[in-house]
Amino acid sequence: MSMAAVETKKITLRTADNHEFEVEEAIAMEFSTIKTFFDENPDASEDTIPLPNVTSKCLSAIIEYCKSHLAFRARETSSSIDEQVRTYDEEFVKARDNESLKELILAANYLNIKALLDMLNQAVADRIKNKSVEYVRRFFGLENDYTPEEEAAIRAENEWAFEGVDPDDD
Amino acid sequence: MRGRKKAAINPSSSSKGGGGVVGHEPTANPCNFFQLPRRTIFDIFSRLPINTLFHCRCVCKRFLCFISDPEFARLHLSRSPLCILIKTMPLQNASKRLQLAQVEADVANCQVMKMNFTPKSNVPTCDISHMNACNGLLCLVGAEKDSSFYVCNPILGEFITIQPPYKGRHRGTFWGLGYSAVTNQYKVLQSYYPAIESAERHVVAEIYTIGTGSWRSIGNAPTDTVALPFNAFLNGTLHWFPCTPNGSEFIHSFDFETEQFGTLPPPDHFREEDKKFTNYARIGVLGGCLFIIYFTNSIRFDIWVMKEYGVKESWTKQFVIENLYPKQGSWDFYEPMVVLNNGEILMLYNNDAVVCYNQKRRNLRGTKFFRTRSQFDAIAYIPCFVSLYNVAKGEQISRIQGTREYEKLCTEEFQDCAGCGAPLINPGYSFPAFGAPCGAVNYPEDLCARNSEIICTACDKHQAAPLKSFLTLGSL
Repeated sequence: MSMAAVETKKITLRTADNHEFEVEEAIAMEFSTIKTFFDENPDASEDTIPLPNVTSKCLSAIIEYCKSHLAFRARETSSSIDEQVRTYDEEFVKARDNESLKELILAANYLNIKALLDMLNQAVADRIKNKSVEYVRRFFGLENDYTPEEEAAIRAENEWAFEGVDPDDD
Repeated sequence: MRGRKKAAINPSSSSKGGGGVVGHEPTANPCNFFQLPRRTIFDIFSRLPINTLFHCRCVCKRFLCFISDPEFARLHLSRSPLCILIKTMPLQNASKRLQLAQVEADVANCQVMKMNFTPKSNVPTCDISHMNACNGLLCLVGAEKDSSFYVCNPILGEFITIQPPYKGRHRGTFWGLGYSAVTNQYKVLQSYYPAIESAERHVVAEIYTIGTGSWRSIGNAPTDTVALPFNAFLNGTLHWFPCTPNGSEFIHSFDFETEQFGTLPPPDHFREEDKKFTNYARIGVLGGCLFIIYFTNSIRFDIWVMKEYGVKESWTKQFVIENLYPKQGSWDFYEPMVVLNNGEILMLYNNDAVVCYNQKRRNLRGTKFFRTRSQFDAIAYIPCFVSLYNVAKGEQISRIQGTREYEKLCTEEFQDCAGCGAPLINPGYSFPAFGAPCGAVNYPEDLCARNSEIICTACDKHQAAPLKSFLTLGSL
């Protein structure tokens, strides 16, 4: 709730489950989709913007993210700020399950928030990095549609990359 | 007001099982990541290391399809970090002659991924006298006068063979693979001497554009004996120093787009010191800029970087390397290769070893990335999934491996587009059956489309009904 004398412009967003969020203009402009909308319709500032592809749970997390990152950016750059940003991002994804990561990615993609999307994509990549075939299959919820012969053929193609690199013995 | 969203988007994930999802155990809450747009999946994949991508290929046919997609290959190539590829002197046996190391180091830790390229799985031969790499492909040149050239992707085990003409000429010593971004073509440059008795004998250059099947002469080359640095390629141009007794006043270059030889000026004070300076200098590419070093046999050297390509005034002293090792022979050379994320600089030391310089502590330390006691040549190489089937159309492409089953996965029957009649390749794989023209297929943006839409890129027509030989996309 703003109690300042200066009136900060607020924009209302309505989510898919009919919740309305009032956010400061600066935060809404972090969503490139919305920024583009206002750039092209400068007189539309009175309306509530419907976001039929975003749930309230996602939107509130995204608003928190953008608020925090705006605050970080307002401070002077330094390595300790970078460290804090890194820690914040790690905490943001750490406790989330795969389903909510996916929903956040879909929302960030729809709202076109590049930095958040990059961060979330990297988080998913980090979760499957160096993991086994089975793990990746379960992670994405996929069935193996190879026949045993086909699967053996692909694994044979890949085998060289996993052969141990022998210690030097020349 | 607590509207709790129901899992409407994802009908298959019934039990939002668990409280204990912090461990991210996939079985607790499998979800349908395929609602993500294809380019987001590409983005996620492009951040994965090669070994994980190999695992992903085994996960299901659709993942094999994604990883074979040329758009993915381009994105992955642009993100893939530079690796060091070494070729040991032939004393090593063939399975250890080509070794690749990818080093990633940030503030917290240092990881090294290692691979060996062998004739069994990756390259057509390791009887190589020269190699160089450009934009994800590797060019290998054999030792004999009539040896073939090979351009290959060792990660995919694909290669093409180029037979250089050799009658009536003496082989030169200069070969370089290059890439022209404007035309999306890979080209091979080579030099030779016409076999004529003449005091005016001059070295000649010719170029082979991959896909065209023939060599074109491009006139006289400035020099022959050439020392290609670890990483020579920048802005579509190859850079080198000639290794002749007279040295040179300039850095030499060849632009693969304009197909012209040229020169670049070093910093002014280099030339004042010694007109033959290039015999004691090293150049290369670091952090996207050309660098140059002039060794004076002292305990330190400076790395000058050309901040703006082609602009002599933009040469800037960027790094100072101090506390060098005690001299081994009469002259020691260090060739910078990669600046890691944590600021350390990897350097090639006298073709013997890879050393690491820490800028903060100002000291050198050895590394154990390569287990070899032989001398070696090193080049910069970016492992990638760029397939020769996409960038070398018109050439006869060979595969090192390829069991019959795998070939079948690649060459399953395809149908023709209902609109324009172009053969549609199986969307399982982005490369067409051998020799077949490519009428590629695009998935529409939303992979969860229930009616499994497929679009022919030749005529943009939607193929409404799922075709029998294609994967059914809506099966999840």
